[in-house]
Amino acid sequence: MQTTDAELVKGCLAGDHAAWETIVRQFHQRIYNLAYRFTGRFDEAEDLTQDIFLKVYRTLTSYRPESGALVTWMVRVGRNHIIDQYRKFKIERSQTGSIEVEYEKAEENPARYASPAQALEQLELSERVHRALLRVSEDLREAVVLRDLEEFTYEEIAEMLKLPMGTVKSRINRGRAELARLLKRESRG
Amino acid sequence: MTCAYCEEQMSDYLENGLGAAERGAVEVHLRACNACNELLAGMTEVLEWGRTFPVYEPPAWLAARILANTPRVARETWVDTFVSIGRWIIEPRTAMAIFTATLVLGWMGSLAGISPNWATIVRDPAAIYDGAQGLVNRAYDEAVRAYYRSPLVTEIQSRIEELREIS
Repeated sequence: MQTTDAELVKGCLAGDHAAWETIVRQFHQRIYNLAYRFTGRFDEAEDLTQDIFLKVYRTLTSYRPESGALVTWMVRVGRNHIIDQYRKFKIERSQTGSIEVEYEKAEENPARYASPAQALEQLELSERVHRALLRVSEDLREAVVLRDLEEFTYEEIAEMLKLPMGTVKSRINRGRAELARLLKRESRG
Repeated sequence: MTCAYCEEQMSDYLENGLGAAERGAVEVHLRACNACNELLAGMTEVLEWGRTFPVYEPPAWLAARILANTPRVARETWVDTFVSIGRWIIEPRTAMAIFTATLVLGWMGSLAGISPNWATIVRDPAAIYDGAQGLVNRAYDEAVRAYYRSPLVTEIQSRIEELREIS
């Protein structure tokens, strides 16, 4: 029988380590990918994933099952943590992790690609767009990541960022347009 | 339709969020405008990238590392906090320190001519809170004024302004 989010959290709060382990194993891939999508680096994604889970553990009492799924709440905690880290340390990057490292990671996930050539092609495109994404302003970047990579709805993003729907739609549109222009400029060399 | 307006509509156009009339107007503009057409192609590529962005498997050791580090973080509830404060207060040396501090402060207060109006306090215990709140507000205002008057803060602010102008 599938354990519900509320039961898992309740178990965790009661000191049930197995419940916490289930949460970690069930959601760490999602949080790891969220961190990677924001930072563009695997090493930072690993550290951020750990930090986010420790934060989730400390603040589990504030999760309310009636206000949504546990994963949505965790993504919100994670997103806030990542943005805080950026603001605190003023991390500015102009490039993602090297393509070699990304290729190694892709080789560890062979099921996702039909062939090594396809993997490399996909990674090159991914790196090109991700590099451009890191040059887009923070406000526009987080809106685009949440919508186009994390696939949240406009309503969820508005609720998560505490912004009116119109502002969210405008940021996503401006972010996409900015990205498109950066890619065009890059392809023209 | 202007290019700026067409650009504003582009995400809705790509996500089928426009009504028939607006969609038609955007398409008419796109047929005549190369710049907007190129932008549309670029935004389509961005959306495609989002859809095909790889989902990575985290390293196998990551979950184990998170679990190994978790017990080091003590999750504290309000009850735990109150219990720990209670335990701290009833420790003999803490109780003795609080008693001594009260005695010394009372003695110093009476030397300085501060004598609480016990009759008023008994009649209206909230007066203690109001008095303390007034004291805290005055101290806060004073601290804020001191901060803005400080030459160091003024110097830092002017340097930041200079740097902003340069950049």
